Amino acid sequence: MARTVAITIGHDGLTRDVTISVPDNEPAAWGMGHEFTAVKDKRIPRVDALEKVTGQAKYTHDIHRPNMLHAALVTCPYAKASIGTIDLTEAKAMPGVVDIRATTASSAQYTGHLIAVVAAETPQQALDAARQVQVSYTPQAFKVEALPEDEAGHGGLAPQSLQEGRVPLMPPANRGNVDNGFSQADGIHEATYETQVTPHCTLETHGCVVEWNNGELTVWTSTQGIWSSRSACAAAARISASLTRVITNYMGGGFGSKLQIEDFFTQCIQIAKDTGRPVKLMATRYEDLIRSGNKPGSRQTVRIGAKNDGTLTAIDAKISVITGYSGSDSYAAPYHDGYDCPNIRVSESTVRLNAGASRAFRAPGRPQGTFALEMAIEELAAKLDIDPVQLRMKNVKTSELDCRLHALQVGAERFGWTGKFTKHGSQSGVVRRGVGCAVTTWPYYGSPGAAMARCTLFPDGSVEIANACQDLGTGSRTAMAATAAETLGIGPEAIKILMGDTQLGLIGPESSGSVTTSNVAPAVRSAAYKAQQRVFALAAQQWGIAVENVACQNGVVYAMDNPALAMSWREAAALMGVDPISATAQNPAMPSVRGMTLGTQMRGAQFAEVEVDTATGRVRCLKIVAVQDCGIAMARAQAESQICGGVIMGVSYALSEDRILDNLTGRPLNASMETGKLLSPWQAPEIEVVLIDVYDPVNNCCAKGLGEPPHIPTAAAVGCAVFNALGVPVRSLPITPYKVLRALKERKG
Amino acid sequence: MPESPAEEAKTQVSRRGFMKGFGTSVAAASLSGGLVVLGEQSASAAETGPALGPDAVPMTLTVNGKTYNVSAEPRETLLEVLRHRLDITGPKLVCDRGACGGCTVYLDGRTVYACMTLAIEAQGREIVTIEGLAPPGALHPVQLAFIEEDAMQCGFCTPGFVMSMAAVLDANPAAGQDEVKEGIAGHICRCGTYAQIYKAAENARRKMGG
Repeated sequence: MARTVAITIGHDGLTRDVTISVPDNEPAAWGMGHEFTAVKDKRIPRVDALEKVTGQAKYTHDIHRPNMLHAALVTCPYAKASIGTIDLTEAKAMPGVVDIRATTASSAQYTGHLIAVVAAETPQQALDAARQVQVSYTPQAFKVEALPEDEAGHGGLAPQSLQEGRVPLMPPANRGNVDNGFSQADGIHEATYETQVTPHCTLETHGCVVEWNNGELTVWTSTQGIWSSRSACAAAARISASLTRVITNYMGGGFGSKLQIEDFFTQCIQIAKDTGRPVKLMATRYEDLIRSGNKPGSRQTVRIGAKNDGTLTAIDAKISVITGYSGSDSYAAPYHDGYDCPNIRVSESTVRLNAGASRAFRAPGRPQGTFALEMAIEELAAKLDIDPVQLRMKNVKTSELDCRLHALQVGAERFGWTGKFTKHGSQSGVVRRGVGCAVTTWPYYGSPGAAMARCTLFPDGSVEIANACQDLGTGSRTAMAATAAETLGIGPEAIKILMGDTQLGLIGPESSGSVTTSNVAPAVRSAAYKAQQRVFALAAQQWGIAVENVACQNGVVYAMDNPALAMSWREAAALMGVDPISATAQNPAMPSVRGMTLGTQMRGAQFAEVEVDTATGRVRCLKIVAVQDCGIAMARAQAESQICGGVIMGVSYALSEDRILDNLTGRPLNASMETGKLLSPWQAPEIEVVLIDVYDPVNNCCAKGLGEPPHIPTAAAVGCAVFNALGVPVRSLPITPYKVLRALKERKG
Repeated sequence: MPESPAEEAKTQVSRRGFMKGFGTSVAAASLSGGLVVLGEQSASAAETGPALGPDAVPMTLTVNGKTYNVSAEPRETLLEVLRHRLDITGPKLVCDRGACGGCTVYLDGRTVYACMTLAIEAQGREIVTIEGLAPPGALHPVQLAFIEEDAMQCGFCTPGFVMSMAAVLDANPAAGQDEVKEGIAGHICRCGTYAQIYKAAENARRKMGG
């Protein structure tokens, strides 16, 4: 049976009263006006903070098993080569070497291609022996730099040797007619924008510890998906998934690069099986930077038109996606869902290079597409002499669940846009300030049934919440604790969280696409609700009232219509006797609301202030205001941390990060942390976070995810701010001093 | 020049070997603040003591007040010995060349990159890792501040940041934001927790009466 629940949905300024149908054994979504005790604006400490600040948290890097072998990689030094003989004689004679597995492949497609795995008694011995593996390579022709557009044709990037590698992507869902749209435009802007390739550089490199026991395999690995890794490791080991266990208690960053197991896991698993000893292989920093993924680059030619009042009439983009020897991406989405332009056409093609494969990178495709689109909008606004934020506001519709306009308004106010904005290029002087803005959109990927959670209530009042998902460091454990505390009406400190081990048996999604909290939190809430209902039934029985009449708040169980009937949560829990009560749930199906689409995209906007030194070309990002919709934040403090993290990564992407390949040899030139130039603490801008609560009852928590969205617009906002400061755009990321000075010089002619 | 990778290995010249040979001169250079002719210094260093290695040799290390007798190769870094031989894994291996601060420990009260320090040179000196920053069961005010300000995400860089910030504030509890900034400038956090880390510095300063 189901009950009907009336709630208010929407966000500040635009709300609607609706009714949703909720199954009797499920909790209803929180609506506007609900008084929260643990989530939304409440702040609770990170559940695993103590382990992290004391060095007790054990990452895969820190796992030591008895009698464990250490393994090292041999990789191809050439960008492209055929592989002749692999002579292991000398390597096998090196001290401490136990086993070596070489590839059977006949060619290598990038610098870093796997050649062999060497296992030895100590890490040093493994590295020493790896250097003694003799491989006869025949280097082959390759090309690493794309030709400029005017040499290769419109939108084309690939030199002749790479033409065959171009892979057309699925055409995006274009709309309207761009030719008609441009004929209606009063002003048209066209330019080409470039974004760089940059590695994920997770601080914990990729790798594993594998161990066999009685035909069963245990793998500790730094992964964003212990369930998908379980299947992949089982396939690599040629055993069934049910005999494979994957553990990720702590992991040192993923950002999209840890959604697959590494190729060398196969050899580690084989060596461990044949030697009967555990094997550990964590990639070196150099190997990690060249082998384990990157954010693909782009060249995007954008033509955009608008009426004099700023109404967009057409957007036409031709995009080349620059990946590695494999991998693909699409940058079309921001063009389609950022602004409400009636006529849009995007065409894309992929360029492949003999370099490390691209992988998913925090909001795949979005930061790239957003940079080009927002820069084009900014330049068009300057051309039409319109305030660029006004132009953006003009082209976003709004609704109860789409807070774009609200985000722009709130952000502009917090940032002080009106006081700070001066026309592009109107400043003089050596050091100039500039301001910029960009919007962010990310889809909601909640999927009913994707996550399971178990809530166990003990007679002493303590609580255990289990889900076998992984916490990437985003705060998933904390979000689960807060969700359970909010649901149960007790403090989060009494709640123990278990996760990161497939042996818990409770499936969870891969942490990709900002889906962890939006799937796991509703499952936790459902399980906690169901378990607590059984305790409420015991209390109701004692009081002789109906179970629907019992509630719990601030650790007190009480009858809703008779405050005289009350007992502490601990007393109520004691009613269960000696056996704990446990309930398991999946994240439930989404309700429907007539006339509305639930689970809409998450929206947001960021505002950047920069300072540009026109003598040195150096850009400093001074401040970012980040306005973000994530539905409702389950763990407020950690949500703010994650937004700040997305911003910092975005500033790093805007100003410094760049993978550089040598034009002559194709070899990576800056695959290290001293030359890879990640943003350091002294370059960090001041960040102000504004969370917009959007009550979208798509799931029982109104939780919509936060990993990706705050990283999307930062580089674009910084780029727009640099253009505002200088009056001349730098259309290529990263915005280095060289590019700034070159742009200024070109303007002077 | 070695003719092949095998030849190169036989000469035993690797980055670690280089560090071992030149460790003394680098230290001398930093102490005197003057220029040192590296070749001369290393030659004299080589003449003064018996050659050690490449095989493992016994070492005695004092870590967090406890004495460890360990056998390790002379080329092994302090970080490698701590992590692989003593199972003290709070200090993290991240960049492996002094660029990120993830391995920061104290050597006689001063912060060093454990990945750029040879274990053999740390003998007879007081080594403190994140595990020993506070007495058992207690937290350093900086650790507490990191918890309260949520100054971490994945936590891989956290031990290093905590060690450096604690060193700055222990030396001067009134250290200003610029001094803290300078103290942690050699660290990298990929999750981007810098804003919270600066808040933690303010928080810790209040706790420490600075």
